Amino acid sequence: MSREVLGNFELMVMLAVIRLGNGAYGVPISRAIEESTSREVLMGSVYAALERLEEKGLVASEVGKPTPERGGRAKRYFRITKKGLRQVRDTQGALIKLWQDIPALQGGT
Amino acid sequence: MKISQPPILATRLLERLASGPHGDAILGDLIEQYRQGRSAAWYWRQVLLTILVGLAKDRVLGGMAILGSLLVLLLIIVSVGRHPSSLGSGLFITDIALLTAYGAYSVWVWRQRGLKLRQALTAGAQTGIMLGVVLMASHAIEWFAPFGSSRAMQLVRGAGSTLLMLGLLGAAGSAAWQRTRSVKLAMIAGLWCGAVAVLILLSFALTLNLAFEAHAVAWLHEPLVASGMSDPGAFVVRNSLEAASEILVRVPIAAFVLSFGGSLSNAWITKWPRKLAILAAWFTPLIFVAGAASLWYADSLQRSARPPFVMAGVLTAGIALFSAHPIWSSLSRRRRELPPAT
Repeated sequence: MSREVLGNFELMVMLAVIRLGNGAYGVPISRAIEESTSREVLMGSVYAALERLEEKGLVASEVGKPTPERGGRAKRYFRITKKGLRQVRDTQGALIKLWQDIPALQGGT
Repeated sequence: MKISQPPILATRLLERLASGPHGDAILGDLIEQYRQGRSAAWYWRQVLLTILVGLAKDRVLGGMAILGSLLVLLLIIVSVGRHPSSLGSGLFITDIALLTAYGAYSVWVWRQRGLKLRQALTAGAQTGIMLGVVLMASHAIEWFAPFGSSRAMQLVRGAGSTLLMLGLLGAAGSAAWQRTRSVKLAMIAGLWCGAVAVLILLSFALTLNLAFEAHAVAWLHEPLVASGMSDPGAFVVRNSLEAASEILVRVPIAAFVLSFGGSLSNAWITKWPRKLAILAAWFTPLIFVAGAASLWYADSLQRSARPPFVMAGVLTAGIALFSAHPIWSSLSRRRRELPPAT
């Protein structure tokens, strides 16, 4: 497998983008990560990860319409690319293989 | 309906300093969340850290460091131009050559695209910005603080900033090693940390000298009298050139050595059993206090009797600061990696 391994945070961002579908922009992406980790997420880090993922061709983005509640600034919507989806599946497969048969991780929540 | 406005200064700062293609979207997202009930403190925190993350991205900072080298060069040329009699000792040429080397290194950093190298450079940039702020604050205190004449405060400021510098240069190597597992990249990160910090400090210090020359002359009165120079302004410039060449040479050497040490200590401490790492975390502050006490004691002695205590103090406190990042990262990594208690 020649593809690069995704970092923890990048994987979380990609999963949030997939989960949110057409409504994936900065605010719901950071909320989704905050809810799953119970930690405050830095918006700059989310966008830094999205920028890296975009450079690698794993996500694509487009600008929405400016709205008054955002001070006249447009949202930038992100969506997963086919390459990105393949990479997430590969990562999931690799993690499941590693996860199996580890006694310390069986049955715990 | 009245719409609440987020802190205007923070918004303006992000507008000016946000880097990358998504600056506008980030600001929109922050404003949207603020209007949904987030606090002003949250907004400020997000803005400042977002700017820091943006600045620390190597390509952006590489470009800024190129500009920083040019700015320092320009400040030196303007200072010398105002007082041509400060020339003549070769310091001007030395500084120009050193700054050209810094500029070349910044260009090299700016052009790098490799993922691992960028991760290392980001670690170096983050610690470099912190170190630059520490050195700038130390210089400002030395210049302006009313307690500048107090020996105790001078010792705290001088020793504090030196020790923090040792710790942060070590932390740059340690953090880069943690991200890349490469000692070579850790040393490149250390050099980058030192270069960023030096450019921040020199831009600040030379601007101060230019803007407050009379204050600088008063501040350097005693060495001016001892030097026998008749032009006080020229003496200030020569003093700045000398200090700049020292810093431009010494900090990269220290960065090279300390980041090497930081990466090795991280690699070593990571292998320790958890109990030993916890024990080290408890003992490290005590070791630091012992080092600081040795420096304090040295200050009360005659000048000739000080060296062994100063050496012991710097070494002991330096080791403590040097190990802080590896120990902290080792413990926090293990905490994240531990399975949940059953």
